[in-house]
Amino acid sequence: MSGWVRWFRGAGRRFGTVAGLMVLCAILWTLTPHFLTVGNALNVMEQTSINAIVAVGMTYVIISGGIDLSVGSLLAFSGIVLAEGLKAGWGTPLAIAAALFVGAVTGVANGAGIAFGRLPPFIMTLGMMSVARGAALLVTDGRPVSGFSPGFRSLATGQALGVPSPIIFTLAMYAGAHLVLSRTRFGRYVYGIGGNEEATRLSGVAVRFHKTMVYGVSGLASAVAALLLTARLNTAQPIAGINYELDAIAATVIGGTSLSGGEGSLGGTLVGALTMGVLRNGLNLLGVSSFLQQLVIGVVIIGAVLTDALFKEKRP
Amino acid sequence: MGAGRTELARIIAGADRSSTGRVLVESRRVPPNSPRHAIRAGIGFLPEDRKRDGLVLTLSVGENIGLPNLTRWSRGGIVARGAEREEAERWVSELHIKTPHVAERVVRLSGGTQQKVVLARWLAARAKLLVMDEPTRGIDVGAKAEIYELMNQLTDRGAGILMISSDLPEVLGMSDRIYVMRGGRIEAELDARGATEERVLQVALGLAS
Repeated sequence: MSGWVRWFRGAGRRFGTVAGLMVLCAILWTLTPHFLTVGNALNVMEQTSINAIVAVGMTYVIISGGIDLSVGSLLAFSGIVLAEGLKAGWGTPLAIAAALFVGAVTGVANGAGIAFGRLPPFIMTLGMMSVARGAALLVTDGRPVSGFSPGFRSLATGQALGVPSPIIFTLAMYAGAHLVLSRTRFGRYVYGIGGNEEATRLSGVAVRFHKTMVYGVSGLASAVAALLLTARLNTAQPIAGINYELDAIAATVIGGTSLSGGEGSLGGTLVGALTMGVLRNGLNLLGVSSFLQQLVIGVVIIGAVLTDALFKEKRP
Repeated sequence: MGAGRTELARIIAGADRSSTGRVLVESRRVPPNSPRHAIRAGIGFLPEDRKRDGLVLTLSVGENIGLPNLTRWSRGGIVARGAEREEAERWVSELHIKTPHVAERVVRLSGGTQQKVVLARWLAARAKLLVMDEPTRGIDVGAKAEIYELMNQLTDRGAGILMISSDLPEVLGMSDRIYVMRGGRIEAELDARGATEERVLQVALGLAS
């Protein structure tokens, strides 16, 4: 490979996602004057926050070489636990703790089935997708739970210095999760397991334990997203979060995380989630029908994965 | 080759389970089927297929050297990146690993250089026994000589090396003791000084005992 081709490929990998987002913004800016306003920008980020938070867990899972299809159902289930707790008068802190605990534990159950039961991640989380959805429907008898205290709702409706709290939440989540992924032993092992599980095991790493924890992180992220969604809508729906796994996978992959594992970053995923959000928002502003929107978003996802494959160096 | 050599190496390294037998290092029993316990007992494993079992190709030279050593190179679960970098750089220069920097991804390095990265990992882990399965397979002549040189330095410093090889000149040239395996058993123990290629082959093929 000649020098400039290598440079181009490296640059493509690093800046492709950011460049793609900027081009998209530029196009939307020329097409509609409403796009580039502070109000709309905050709106996009707020809309994106739920998907962005779910995608934090998805990024951990995909870097470790797995996939988590149960995130949307876990979100619904933790949301219901939260809502029922609030309704039962547990108090906001305890209800929140219970929801986060349930999300994390359900995620750990996913991980245990995969790491210790040796189930393929696709199958285990597909099963859990149905289990958690069923549990949410069962507990609520299929009905939404709504009407919470203003104190709880301020989680999503509050703001600091004019910045809506979901944005602050999201940025804090990304900062924390990024530090864990890049600075801790756990984070390094996540990359190792995704890059070469056997070599990581032979280096004395407790692969099964760390794999289990990765899915716990994903469950926890879904539960955090459930807090925000429930507070924003003032309702917890047992049918919330349907198809959220697709959005989270799309954000992660658009952000440059390799579906074959071992490579990726949360910074990329944040840009990927924003790209999805900007695209949705732009199509709405342009009055594109929701049917056509689905089609366009699917094409973008396929395009992102194709581009990634083209820019990627061959792995032996 | 069907003689059971790789299986033996993997059992010693804790990679696989054995139905019988024990592994002892310095007269202390090593819990079986656990790479972690093998490493703690001072065993380092250079697998036959280093791309499949040895290296994480998507990680850097430094990160690959660090993989079994992070428990020592971290505090409270947080990787001490300065210490990690220093250690990695030290081993890179000591083993003359040809890489522009420790942050280079191992996928970009040549076979011999990759093998030295695996070796550096175990030296950093202060391994007392290195189990090397075909350590020079698929490696160019220059790097081969360097690896032999490193092996001699290691044994001079008191480390033990269990090398598995199909390359008879290599076996005769590097060994102190030679064990010939056939059908999963050790057929003979030979003193390397008196051994010849014919003798080793005869035992390996079952023509003499």
